[in-house]
Amino acid sequence: MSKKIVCLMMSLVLLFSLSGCWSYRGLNEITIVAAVGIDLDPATQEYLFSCEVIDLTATEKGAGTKAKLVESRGKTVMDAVRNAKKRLLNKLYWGNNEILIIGNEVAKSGKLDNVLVWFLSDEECRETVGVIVSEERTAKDILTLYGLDNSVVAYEIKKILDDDQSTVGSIESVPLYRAFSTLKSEGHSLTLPVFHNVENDEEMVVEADGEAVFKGNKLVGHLPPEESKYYLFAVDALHGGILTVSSTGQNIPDISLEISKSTTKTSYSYSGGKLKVTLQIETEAFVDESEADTDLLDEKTTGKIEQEAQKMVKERTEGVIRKVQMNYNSDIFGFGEMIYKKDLKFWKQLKPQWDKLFPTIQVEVQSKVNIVNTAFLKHS
Amino acid sequence: MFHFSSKRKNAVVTEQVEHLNQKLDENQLGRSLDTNVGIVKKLFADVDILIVRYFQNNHDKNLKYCIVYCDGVVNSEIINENIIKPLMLSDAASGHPDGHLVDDLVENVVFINEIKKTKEMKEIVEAVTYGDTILFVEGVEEAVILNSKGFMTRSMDEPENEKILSGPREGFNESLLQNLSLIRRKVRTNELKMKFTTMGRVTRTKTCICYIDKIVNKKILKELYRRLELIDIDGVLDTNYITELTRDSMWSPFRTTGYTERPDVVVGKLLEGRIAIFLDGTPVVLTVPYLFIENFQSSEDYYLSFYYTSLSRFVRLTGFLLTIAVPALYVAIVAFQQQMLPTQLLISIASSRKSVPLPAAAEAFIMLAVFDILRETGIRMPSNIGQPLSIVGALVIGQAAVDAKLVAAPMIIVVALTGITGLLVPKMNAPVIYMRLFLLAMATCFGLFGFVLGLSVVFIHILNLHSFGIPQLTFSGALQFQDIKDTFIRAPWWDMLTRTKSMTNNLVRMKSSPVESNGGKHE
Repeated sequence: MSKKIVCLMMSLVLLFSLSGCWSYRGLNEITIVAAVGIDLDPATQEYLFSCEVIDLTATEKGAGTKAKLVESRGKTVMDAVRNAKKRLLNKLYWGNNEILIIGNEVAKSGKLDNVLVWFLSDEECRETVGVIVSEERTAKDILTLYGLDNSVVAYEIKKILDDDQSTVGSIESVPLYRAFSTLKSEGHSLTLPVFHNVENDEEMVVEADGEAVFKGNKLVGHLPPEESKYYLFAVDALHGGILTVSSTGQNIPDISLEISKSTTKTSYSYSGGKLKVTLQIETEAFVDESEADTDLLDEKTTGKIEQEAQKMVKERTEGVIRKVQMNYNSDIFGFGEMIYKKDLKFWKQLKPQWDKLFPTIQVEVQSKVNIVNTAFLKHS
Repeated sequence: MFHFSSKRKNAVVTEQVEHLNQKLDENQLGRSLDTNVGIVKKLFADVDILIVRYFQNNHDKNLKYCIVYCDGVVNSEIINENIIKPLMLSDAASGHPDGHLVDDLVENVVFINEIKKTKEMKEIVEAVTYGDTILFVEGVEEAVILNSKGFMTRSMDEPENEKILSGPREGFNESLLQNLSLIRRKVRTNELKMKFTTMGRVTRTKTCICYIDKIVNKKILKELYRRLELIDIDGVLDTNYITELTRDSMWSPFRTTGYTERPDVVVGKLLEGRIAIFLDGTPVVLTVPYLFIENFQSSEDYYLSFYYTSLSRFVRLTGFLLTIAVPALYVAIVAFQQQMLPTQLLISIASSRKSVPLPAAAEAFIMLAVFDILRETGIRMPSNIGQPLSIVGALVIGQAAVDAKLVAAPMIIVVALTGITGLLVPKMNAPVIYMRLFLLAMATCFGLFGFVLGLSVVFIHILNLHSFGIPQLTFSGALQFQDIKDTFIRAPWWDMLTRTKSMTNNLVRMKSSPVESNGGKHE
C-alpha cells in the first residue's frame, strides 16, 4: 500500500513538472495586444515600440471592438516592451496578437532577426503571428489607422493576409516561425508582405502592396503587386487571383482568367559551369469575363486564350526573376535551398560563391495554362 | 436469513427482539381456546388495532371459534362472508371427531383461497400483521391462517418522474403483489421466477427476487443472494436501502443498481438477464447488475424510432460531458489558457468581465451553488409558488446580477448550460454534481492541465466501477460490435440479435433478423 502511495506521489510530482507555464490570471488583469509595430529611432538607435491594444472599456459599451495605441521605447525589444508597463494598468497579453509590423528603418538597418527572435522566444507570443513590413515611414503609421471594416486594424490586416493568396495573389502570408527559419536557412532569402496607406473615400486605410525583398537581415528591394504575383508563381505559392489577357493579341486586356489551381515544379541542371533552373508552371483557370462576342465553346478560341496566358505567365515570371537576379541579387526563390535538398555535396561546392553565381543562373519558365471552365452565357 | 446475533452495536433493539423471539418460541399452542388467544393478546398487548372475535357454530354449540386479525389491513367483507358466516351456519363440521376437525373446516367450510395450518406463534404474528386472519378452534392445538388481506393501495398511475411520450403507461404502486402481477401479466412463462424473502428485523418487509431462469446469469444471482444475506438491518422502507447495503465500492457516488417504477422497464431488464428486486411498500424496483450505459438509457429509446432515439442517446451523452466539464473548461480557459480562445471571443468575454469584482473561479463556485439552491428549492417547494421562484431565479439572479455587474454574463450562460444539461442524466444527479465540482476545483488550481488530470481521475474511477462483480464499463479491448449496438446509439430492433455479453450466457435474443433474411424488405 505504501509503495502504491509513493508511486502515486512520484508520478504526480513528475506530472506537475511537465505542465509548462501557467498561473491564474483573470481576464480583467490583461491588456489584449492585437498588433505590434517595431521601429528604430535613427538618432538614438533605440527601439520604438507601438502596439495596438483592445480598448475594453469602449468595447463594453457596445458599438463594436475598439482599439487604442500604446507606445514606449527601449534599448532592446524586450526593454521597450517592458517599458510599456510603466504607463499601463495591466500587463500586455500576447496570446492573441495577430500581426507584427516591421518598421522600414528596422528592415533597412538589418536588425530584423533581433526582433523576430524576441517574439519567437517569448512564451506567450504565437509563432503564427503574421509578419509584415511597413512601407510608410514607421510601423506606427500603419497602426494609427482604422480598418475599413474592422476598427481594429490588426484584424483587418490579418484577414487580408489570410485571404490574399487565394483571391488576389499579390502577397504571400509569412507566419513568424517561417520568417525566422527562412531567414536562417541556407540558399533562401526572405520576402515579407508590404503594407502601405492609401486614401479611400477621403480616409486613409491600409492596403497590401506586394512583397519586400530581403537579403539576409536587410531590406534590399520591393516587388509591387503586379510583379509579386509572378513571384508567387515562381515559388508555387499562388492559389488564386486573376490573369488578364488580351484575346486580340493587342495590349489591351479584355479577358479575365480566374486561377483555380497552380503548381510549379522547380528543377535544375548543371553543365559546363553553367547552372540552369527550369520552372514548370501548370495553371488551371476559369474564364470569368470576356467580350460578349467571344465564342468560348470554340476550342480554337480557348486555345488561343490559353496560349496568350501561357506566354504572359512565362514572360512576366522570367522578368521578375531577372529583376531580382540583377537588381537585388537575393535568392528569394530558394534555388539554393532546392539544390541543398537534392544534392548536398554539390551545394557545398556552390555555397561559397553563391552570391556571384546567383545572378548568372539561366532560368527557363515553361508555362501551361488550362482553361477548365468558362462562364459562357448563351443568347436565346 | 436473519441471525439475531448481538454483533451489531444497537444492543437495545437486539435485546428487545431477542426477548420477543424467546417468548415466541416458548409459547406453543395448547388445546384451550382461551389460552391460545391469551398468548396472542399478550404478544399484542397495547396493539389496539388487533381485533379478537369469539363466536360459535349455530348447530353445535361446542364448536367454539375465535378469529384474530388487525383492523385496517384486512378486507372485512371476506371475513364476514367467507369466514364468520360459513363457520357459524355450516353444519358440515358438527360432531366431528376432534382429530380431523381443522381439516374439515378448511376443506368444507371456509371460502378462502389461501390457507395455512400452523402451530408456530412466530408465523401467526407475521401473518396477522400482514392482513391475514387467524382462526383458533376450541380443543385444537393448531391455528389456521386465512388470507384476508385488504390493503389500501394507490392506483397504478404513470410514475411522475418517468413520464414518456409513447409506450406503456402503467406504473408500480406500494403493493408488492400488485406490482408482481404487472410483471406476471407481461411475461407469461414458467421461466419467470419470483422468490420471496423477508428483510428487516423489525419491519419484516416482504421482498421478491425476480428473474427469468433461462437467461439469468447464475453467478450474479448467487452473488446477489450472498449480499442480501449479509444485510442485518432493522427496517427497509425503500429499495435504496438495499442499493446502499449491497454496493460494490462503498464510497463511489455512482449507482450500482438500476431503479424504475415502470413494469415495462423491469421486464425489459429481465429479458436482458438482469435480476429485479421488489420490496413491499415501495414502487421503486431495483434491477441488477447495472451497467454504466444504463445511466443514459430510457425505456422510450425502445419505443420510438431508432433514428430519433439514437440521436437523443447521443444528446444525453454529450449532455453528461457538458454538465461535468463546462464550468471547469470555462474557468481553465478564461483564467489560465486564454490563448485557446479565438480573438473575437476573447475580446467579448474580456469586455464583459472588465468591471466584475470576483475572479472567474469564485464566480463559478458561487453561481453553481446558487443554481443548486434554486434546483433544490424547485424540488421542495409547493407547486403554486413556482412562478415567483422562477422570476426570482431568472430575473434577479440572472439578469439583475449581470446588470449590476456582480456576475459576468458568460458565467450565467455557462451555469445555465451546466444546469440544463445536468437534467439530461437524472440517474447520475449525485455523481454529476461531485464530478463537476471536482473538475472545477482542479481547473481552478491548475488550469487546463488540471482539468485533463481531473478528467482522467474521473474516468479511471468509472472504469473501475463494478456492479455485483460485473464491470460497469467494458474495456475497448473486449469490445464487440454487437455489444455496442445499444450504447452510443440504439440500433434497430432487427439488428440487435444478441443480449449483452457481460450480463448473461444465453446470448441469443433472436436467431436471425426477420428483415435481413427477407433480403432487406418485407414485400
